[in-house]
Amino acid sequence: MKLLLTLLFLSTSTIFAQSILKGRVVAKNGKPIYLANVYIEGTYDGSTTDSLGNFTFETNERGAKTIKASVVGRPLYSKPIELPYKELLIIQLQGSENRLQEVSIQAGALQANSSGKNTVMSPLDIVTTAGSMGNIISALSTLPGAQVAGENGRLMVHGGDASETQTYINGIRVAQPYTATPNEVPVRGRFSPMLFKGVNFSTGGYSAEFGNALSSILALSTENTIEQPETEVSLSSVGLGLGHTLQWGKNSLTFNSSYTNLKPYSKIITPDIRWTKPYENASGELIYRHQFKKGFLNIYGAYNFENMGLYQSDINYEEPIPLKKKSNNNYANITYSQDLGNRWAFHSGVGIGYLRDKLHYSDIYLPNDEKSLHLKGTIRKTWKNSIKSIWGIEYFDNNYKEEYHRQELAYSYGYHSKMTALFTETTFGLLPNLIGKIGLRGTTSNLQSKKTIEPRASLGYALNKYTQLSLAYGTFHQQAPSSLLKYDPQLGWLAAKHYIANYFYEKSGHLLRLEAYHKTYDNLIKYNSQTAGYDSQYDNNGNGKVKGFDVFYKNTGSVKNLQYWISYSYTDSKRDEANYPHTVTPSYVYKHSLFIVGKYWFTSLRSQLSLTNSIVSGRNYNDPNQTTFMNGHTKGYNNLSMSWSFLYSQQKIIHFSVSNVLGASPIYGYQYADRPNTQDIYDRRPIVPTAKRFVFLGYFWTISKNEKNNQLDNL
Amino acid sequence: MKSIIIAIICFISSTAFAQSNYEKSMRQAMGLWQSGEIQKASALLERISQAEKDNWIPIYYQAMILTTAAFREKNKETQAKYIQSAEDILNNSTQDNNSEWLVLRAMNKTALMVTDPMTKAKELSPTIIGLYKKALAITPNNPRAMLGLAEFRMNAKKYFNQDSSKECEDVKKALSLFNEEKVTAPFSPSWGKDRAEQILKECK
Repeated sequence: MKLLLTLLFLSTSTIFAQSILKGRVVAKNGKPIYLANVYIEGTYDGSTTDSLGNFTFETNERGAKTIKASVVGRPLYSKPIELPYKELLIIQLQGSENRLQEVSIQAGALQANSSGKNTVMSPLDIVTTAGSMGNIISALSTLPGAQVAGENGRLMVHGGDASETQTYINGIRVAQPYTATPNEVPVRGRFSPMLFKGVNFSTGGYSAEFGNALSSILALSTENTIEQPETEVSLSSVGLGLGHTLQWGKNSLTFNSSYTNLKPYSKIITPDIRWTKPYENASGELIYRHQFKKGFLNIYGAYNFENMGLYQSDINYEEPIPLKKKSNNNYANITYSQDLGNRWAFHSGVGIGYLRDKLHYSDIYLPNDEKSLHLKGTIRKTWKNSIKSIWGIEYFDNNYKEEYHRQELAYSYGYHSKMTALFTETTFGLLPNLIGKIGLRGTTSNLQSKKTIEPRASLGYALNKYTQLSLAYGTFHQQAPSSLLKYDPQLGWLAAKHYIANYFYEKSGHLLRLEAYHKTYDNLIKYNSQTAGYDSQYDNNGNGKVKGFDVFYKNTGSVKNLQYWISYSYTDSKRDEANYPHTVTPSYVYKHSLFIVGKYWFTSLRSQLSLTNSIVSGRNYNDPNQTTFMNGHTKGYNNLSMSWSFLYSQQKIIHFSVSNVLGASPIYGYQYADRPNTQDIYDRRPIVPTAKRFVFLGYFWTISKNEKNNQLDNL
Repeated sequence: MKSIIIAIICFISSTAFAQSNYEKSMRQAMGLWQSGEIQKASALLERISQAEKDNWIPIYYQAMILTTAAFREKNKETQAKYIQSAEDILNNSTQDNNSEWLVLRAMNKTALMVTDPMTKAKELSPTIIGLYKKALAITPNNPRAMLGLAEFRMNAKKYFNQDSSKECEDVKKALSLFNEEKVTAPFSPSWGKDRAEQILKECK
């Protein structure tokens, strides 16, 4: 019997003759790879490498087989092998797969996306940043390279003025992205931040897909997914809001409306303003989405009605001047994207805007309207080796009319611009850790005689997993801002060149971004009068130069529940434009600006405290009493804002925020009289914030079947 | 006669061998998992799954091991790698109508959510609840889906000091389903009873 068993063992062991396979897994540079998974395809035979990269396992397989080795983050290794294999098997793995998304071009790019990587803030950060009051533009101003002028609330980038930034929604231009306000009252962005899943803010060197902006692009995108049904109600110290989402099948419809009236508020907060009609705003947004089998349709519409009246101080008049303004701003945007298969995709869109403003200023009546149309079509292709290309064509039509009425006097002026542009851009991998992007954009317009050709190029180099270096270059053109083009439609293209170098580091909660840039301007607009007007003489003989750098550091989670960022920008801008006699630093530029933003989550109180402190240096102003032009400097100032959000339940939130907690009294600049007084001195009036503080208290309630965990998005 | 016996024994042992190769390897993988060898267990399951292409269970456990490891991992980078690797497995599959698979997807999303609840909860919690609900719609008596959903909701309610007696009822129901549950195939998911009992203790 023993013999039988021995025989049995012998026979089985010969039938399943096992051979031993030994080897090593190494990287290209010869370094051993730990925990690589080595196996013979389709069998159980395999092993994991030890810390020296060695593996050994037994196998019963014979003949031609395939050996595989897998490691996270590298392409799967696969090679034919003849078994049994007696020698030591050396497996050399290729470097990380050359995936373009691992290297990105950071120069000039600031992203606020929910995806996480290479992103400086999330959409939620926009609403929870103290001082932003839910305004996208204010939140962006805490980022490097961006400045928002306190007196007008508009976004200015890398030393450029507010007209040099264009706003896009889903790739379609928004001609009028701001709310209307009287002079010296800051405007707001018109769009609710939480409707957008992605905010791509460029500080320069941006893609050839965009044009007609000398400095910057703000590209907002909504998400291509069907929303879940819910209802949102908000009540606040300045108004009320209602939002509702319906969903059926592959469709969703969201509407959002709000009404703001500062009447009960103006008595307490802006006692210095003599309102005749306290600011009133009714606005709404609507999004319809439809998911096709291989396509997605998104219809976005927004309307904004504003009405206000007040007495405004003007140094040229003894008494404050009565001002009345009514504004209707409508915008619609339809985008459709389709997957054409084989990694081809088609995107197209139409944007229509209609703005009608009626302004009464003293005895002047100034109605204007602007009709804008944007058509765009693009084809995208992702090639096999991760090369990506885009081709596109677009058409912009802008029709602007303004009338001037003063007693018997009446005249009208404006422009009708028709612009066509073609563009293409390709991103390709040069090395596993080096990518390049080359783009070209050509534009022709009925107003400007010349065609423009704009080459753009950038490089991104990954030093390691956490660090990237990038460079960007581009030429950019734009038409004169509508505030000047309306007086002289023949004004030629303004031009700029950007040179940007960027360092980006991101590792476990730390993000450091450094950017240095140089920007040159040509053909800036000049005029020969004290203020730009109907009868001024205009030309394109201005120019300018900006150099500067930005530092941004963000930390998440080094201290539990604490997130903070520090952003510093240095801007050295010299321009010869407007009515400047020579090159100077313009009055809208802050040389130094520093933002410190902190958010702390008190778990036991279910509350988030958010603080934003901004320090800016003074700005230039021109004092006509002095012989040197633009020789005045305002004082720098410090502004601390705070907000407190309390999650009462998953669906209910209470939000309180205060701006300028410390009560600083900044002076943005001065308005000087057009003519000297009897002592031959030009009188002046400081331009100061309309309200020292803004205090906001709101209650937000979401009624959802899907039990959202919190409601912070409605702040 | 001897040769016949040997032939029979050989035949039996070879079928037994073929049968146990899967079970042996699975057991080995479970052993590695229990002793904390996450990567080795994951690698072994990957090998099993490529040898057993039509069997979703090994790859389910691979994603399971990586996901549960992510909850415990302190190193942020390793944690992100675990979550991502598990997500890649869970996405790249034809198991979208498998209730157990959906429960695991919900767990994977929960692991991602707890890495940064402040920014991620808003977006992910409806998705997670949606996944549990879909799992329950496919298999209404899946105790893991019922338990998972109840626990997820309970955690949110606890945070707001709200009453979670309804969820406790769900856990009780899940526990009775656990008691009735019969293992249909070797290694098919059967975990969760201990967890249900533990949660139920906190209910009282």
